[in-house]
Amino acid sequence: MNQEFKRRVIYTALADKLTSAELWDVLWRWEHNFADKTRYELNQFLAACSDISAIRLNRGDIYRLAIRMLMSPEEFQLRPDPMPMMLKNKPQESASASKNKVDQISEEDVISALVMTDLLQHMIDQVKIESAIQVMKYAQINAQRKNMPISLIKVLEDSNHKIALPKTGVKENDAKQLVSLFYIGLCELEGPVAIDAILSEGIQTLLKKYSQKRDYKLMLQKILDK
Amino acid sequence: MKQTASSPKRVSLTLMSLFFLTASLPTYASDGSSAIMDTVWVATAAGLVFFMQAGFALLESGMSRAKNAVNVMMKNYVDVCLGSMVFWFIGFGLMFGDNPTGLFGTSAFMLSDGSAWDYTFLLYQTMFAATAVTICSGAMAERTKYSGYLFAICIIIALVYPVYGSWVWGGAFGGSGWLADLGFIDFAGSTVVHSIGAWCALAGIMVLGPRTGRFGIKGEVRDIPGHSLPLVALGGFILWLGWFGFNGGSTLAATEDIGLILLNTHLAAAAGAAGSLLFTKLMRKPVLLSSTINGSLAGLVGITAGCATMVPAFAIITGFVAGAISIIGYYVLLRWRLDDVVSAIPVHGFAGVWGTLAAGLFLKDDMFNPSIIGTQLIGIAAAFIWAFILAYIVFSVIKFLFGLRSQSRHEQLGLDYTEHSEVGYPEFQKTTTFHKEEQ
Repeated sequence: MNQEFKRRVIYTALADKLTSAELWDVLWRWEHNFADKTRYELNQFLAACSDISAIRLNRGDIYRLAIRMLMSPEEFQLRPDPMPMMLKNKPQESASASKNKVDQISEEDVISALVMTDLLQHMIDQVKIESAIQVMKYAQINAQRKNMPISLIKVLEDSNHKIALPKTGVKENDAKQLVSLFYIGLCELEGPVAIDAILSEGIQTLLKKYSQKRDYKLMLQKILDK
Repeated sequence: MKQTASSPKRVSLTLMSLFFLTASLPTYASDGSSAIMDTVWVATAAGLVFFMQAGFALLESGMSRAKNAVNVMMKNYVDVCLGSMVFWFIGFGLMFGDNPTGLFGTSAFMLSDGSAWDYTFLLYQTMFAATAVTICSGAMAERTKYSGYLFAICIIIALVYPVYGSWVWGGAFGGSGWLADLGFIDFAGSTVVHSIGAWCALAGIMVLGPRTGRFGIKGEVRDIPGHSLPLVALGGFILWLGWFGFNGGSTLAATEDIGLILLNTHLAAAAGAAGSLLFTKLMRKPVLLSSTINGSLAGLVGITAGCATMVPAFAIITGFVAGAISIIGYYVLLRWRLDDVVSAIPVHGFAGVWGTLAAGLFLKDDMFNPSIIGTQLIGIAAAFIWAFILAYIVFSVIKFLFGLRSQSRHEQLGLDYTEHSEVGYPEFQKTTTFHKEEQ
């Protein structure tokens, strides 16, 4: 279950019940504290948002609705990924500690993290599981050698050969380096011809996926630029 | 009989000269001077050798991936441009200038006060120098930094190639080279041009290392097919055509010997392809277009040393063996984990060694003379020691000072885009998201 899907569920479940300011605040709380947790912790998340009256009063309904959406998404018309809107509505500096944390992440870093994750995930999804595990290990070792941010190295530790979205965003240059590390590692493991084809296919897939998201498309270009 | 046979050749040469010269030709022709005929022939041959650069460009580009096609073409193009200037500036003097020691030339640098013939000779030799150096570009394709490569070829054309050349062909302005004094035979440059280029390329690929992923972790060899076999085939045909100028023009005169030289050249190329075909079959390997074309090129390289001094039957043997050697050489390099993108080293290096040896073995009227064979071996060894060691030092120093290998990121994106900001096939390129309108 990917993070984008879970974000869309939370967004859909809350969108009609909260004011705009409340909505973006709650979604950022979820992004930072609960995005990578299981659905069983959804109740805990709603409890953590009980300072917002609309959630406190409708907590049971929201919880049940969100769980149903997670279990049977085909029965609902999920709203699109709210991340672009979230980025435009980042919490202000004067708010809580979690809000301060959000302020340190630029919009660009968040988009580059999303795009990088999508691209890397596409690449490792196309190769054998052993290669996926090996390349993550290879990238992790080399990322450490290159003194890349710890938050970025941590996402490579993730089990089940899934790339987790770095919570603190990713600098464009780090994203470039990580994509390169994956490319080199997979070249050595699978051969350059196969990996060129996978990378090429990945780029085309993402360009299609981002067809309505100009910022994402441009970020993909930047990550793949020299 | 001989006289009768040569007459039609004279007629055809006159027709060629009429074709290639401008309106001023009749004034010279009326002098009836053989010097004019010689000039016309050598200038025409220079044109053919220049055209070989197009052949190299197509062949090397076709054997590279689409994302590096422009970069390979650029290297071939700039080889001629930079190489010509550097050779005029210093290389020609080192190679052909007055050579009292037998080790290098000491005059005719930046030639500007020569005779009419000197300029013709310089033009022709410039094309040879460009050919020698362009051999490196194919072997080192797809992972070499453009600036590092250009720097290296300048040094090769200014020092490595002309100094060895002076040992064999030097002394046009006085003196002679030490290998020439020993009686070393290399009529058109199996060793002087082709092996020297190949040994430089060998040093280059050893310093560079293979392309990312060419050899697997367990040592398995991974094929990286080129993007266009039609370009490879066209390049092969053009090189074959250009070789008529390369070998034929080395007479440096419009003589009746040209017929035998061109026939030997042609037969050796054909036999080279046959040799590679047969040997590939014997090795139970697939018969590839690229290896067949490389077989014919190996035949051409092989016959270059002895094309004027052996009879056609031996030219066929020379070409045939050279073709087989190109196949063996390919697998030897793979076993050594050396990544030569276009098989330049087997074709120009190994076949060049064989061709130079064959020129001694099959020397008309003095075949299998041990003394001549010994001299040939000395010349072959001297070429390897001089070119390989010096080129290895040159490439290593460049690697240390400026970097020779492209960043892995550039290898990933393709050198067309990273080095030249353009792509060879924009409509089909899918490994980058490069769209100018969105930049």
